[in-house]
Amino acid sequence: MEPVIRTLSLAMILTSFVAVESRSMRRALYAYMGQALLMVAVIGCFATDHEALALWAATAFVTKFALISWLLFRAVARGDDQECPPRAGPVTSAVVIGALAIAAYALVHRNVAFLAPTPTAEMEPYRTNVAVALTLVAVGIYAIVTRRDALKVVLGVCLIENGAHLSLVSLATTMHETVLIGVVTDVVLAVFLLLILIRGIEERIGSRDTSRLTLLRG
Amino acid sequence: MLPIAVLALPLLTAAAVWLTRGVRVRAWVWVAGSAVSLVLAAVQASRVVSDGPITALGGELLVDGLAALMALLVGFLAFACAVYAAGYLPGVHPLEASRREVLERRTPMFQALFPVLQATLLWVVMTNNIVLLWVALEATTLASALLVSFYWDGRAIEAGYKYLLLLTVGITAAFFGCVLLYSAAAPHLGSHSALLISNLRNVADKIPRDIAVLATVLLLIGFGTKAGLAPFHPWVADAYAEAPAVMSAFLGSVISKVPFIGIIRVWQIMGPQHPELNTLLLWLGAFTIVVGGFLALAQDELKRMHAYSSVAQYGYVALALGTGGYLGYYAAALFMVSHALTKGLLFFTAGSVIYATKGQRSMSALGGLGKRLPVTAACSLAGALSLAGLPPFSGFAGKAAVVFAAATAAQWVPLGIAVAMSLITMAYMIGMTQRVFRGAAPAGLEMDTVHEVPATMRVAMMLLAAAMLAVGLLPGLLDPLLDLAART
Repeated sequence: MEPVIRTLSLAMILTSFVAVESRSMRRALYAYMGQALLMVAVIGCFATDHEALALWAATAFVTKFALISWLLFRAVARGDDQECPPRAGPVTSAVVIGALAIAAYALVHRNVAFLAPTPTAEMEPYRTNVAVALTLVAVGIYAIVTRRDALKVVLGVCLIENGAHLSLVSLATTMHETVLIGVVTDVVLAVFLLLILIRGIEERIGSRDTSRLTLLRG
Repeated sequence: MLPIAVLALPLLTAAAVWLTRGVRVRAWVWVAGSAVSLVLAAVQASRVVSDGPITALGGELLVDGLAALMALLVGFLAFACAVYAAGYLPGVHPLEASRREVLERRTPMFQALFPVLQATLLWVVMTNNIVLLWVALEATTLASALLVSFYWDGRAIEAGYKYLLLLTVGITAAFFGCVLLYSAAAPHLGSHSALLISNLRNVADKIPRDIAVLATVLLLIGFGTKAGLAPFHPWVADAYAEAPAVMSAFLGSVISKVPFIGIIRVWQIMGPQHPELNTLLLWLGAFTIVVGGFLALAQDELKRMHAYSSVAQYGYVALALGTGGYLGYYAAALFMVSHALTKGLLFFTAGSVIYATKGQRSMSALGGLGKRLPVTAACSLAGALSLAGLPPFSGFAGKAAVVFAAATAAQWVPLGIAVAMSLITMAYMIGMTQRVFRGAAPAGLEMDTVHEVPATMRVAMMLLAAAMLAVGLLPGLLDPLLDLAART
């Protein structure tokens, strides 16, 4: 199972790169949806060890793949498919995201006792999973900082939340499902409300460009 | 049953408000619902004082001294906000004639969503589940985002967007902190018991030092962002300034205080085991006092000055907590009560000035309003004196407690910073009073059209001023609850 999880994890990092770098919002969204499915598959693989995780995989499918993607699709369909020019290009992003992934792996593999609260989390494939989760969080923050398109910023938030969700597989496998449902409900609502506010921004300045937010001050 | 009733009543109020027709009728349904909520919170507090902590839902809800005190504070401020809004919200429409239709459409949403926000705050205060504490705190952000951007003009939408984005991202750090604490405690307590905060203290010494420190720092970043501690404060000024005054008051008084519940809960568990965490919090507090104080001093816009001044005051709470021990927690709890009353009042008075002058927010364009707005001016002066830490108001008791806690812990440098920055607070608050209410009116201000605000707004201001005075003159009034809160 370990090689499968490693391959899926690498694919998750690649999809996060495509989601951040694709200039077409639809393509970026497809990359995000692909990542959501990969996450469901990763959690599904872990569910072979912990049956309770099957429900987590189902929760991730419903919220990350279905609900959030549907909300984002509606927002993309309403506006321009082309992303506002970002602050950093694909080469910079490739270098930064690659460096973030290597740093996360190095941090987790060299200092696993510092980060992993349980003996299980120190072992493979749980350890690699923590590294992937950290990478997704870092890529999400990178997207928020370097993208000017508000929808891309929301995609960055979604990447951070995917990282947080994935980390639970290694760090809190035994956590009760109702708590997990509370966590993912917050995420869906946050995306929903952000999209309402972005629609308000688009209606006023005719663009999703966050560098033009000062125009809102009149 | 009582904690469930306290939690459920604001939700019932929200449903009743939503189903009622007519902006004024809705306003009074809201006032009635929040009055009953306040009574329930008071009964709950009295039960906790007489009989000890109350639990519900199998220990998922725990009302100890701290929770009872904060639930009472949330209930009182929510009631004051409902009374203020009964005059403020309908009256806002004539000021915004060009967008009257938009505001009229959004007012029912505001009136119904506000009690929902109150319920989420009470959930934060009373939950005993470490991960649901995070969920509830994020829920307070979600419930308040549309209230911050109520005016739905460019500035309000920008403020709402930044508020929601920065807080959602910032509080993710706290999520990792909560999960780390839970998973480190689970092997010792079992999977369900490890979620309960009241159980975590029993195994605090068994959690590896590195994990404990990392989790606590992550929690501080997340909850500190939500509270508005420096350097996580950049969202504060826009959100406080662009929200309607009633929302600014709720933000500055209680929404900013509930994240400290999370900080206190975690510090009471981890602080005694790892004293370096107390030092971190102490200096973060001192840093926040300095940053917020000087930013407030530089502002010309009334609500922005109050916003940055709030940041500075949150620093006093962190500093008191950082001194550790009973006195530090007692001082932090008393200061939070005092600041909630004081800042709620000051945002109400700022809203009244803006309301009466038809939208004038800049202090340089205001002046001589004392004669036209005597109640607002008197309440603003009382709030200014309290914030500056002068007797006989609650601010004096609050700041004296913080100073006493820092002196007892022999933290002389942070104490010196806190006292020196109090003088800065006094300077900008006296400056505000002078510029807005005294002197001559500037040329552009049409004084003939300036009249004192509606009665409900004045009643709400006087209610908070009276509470501030009561806590200042009789600091022992809240002692049974403060004592329990500090011992929690």
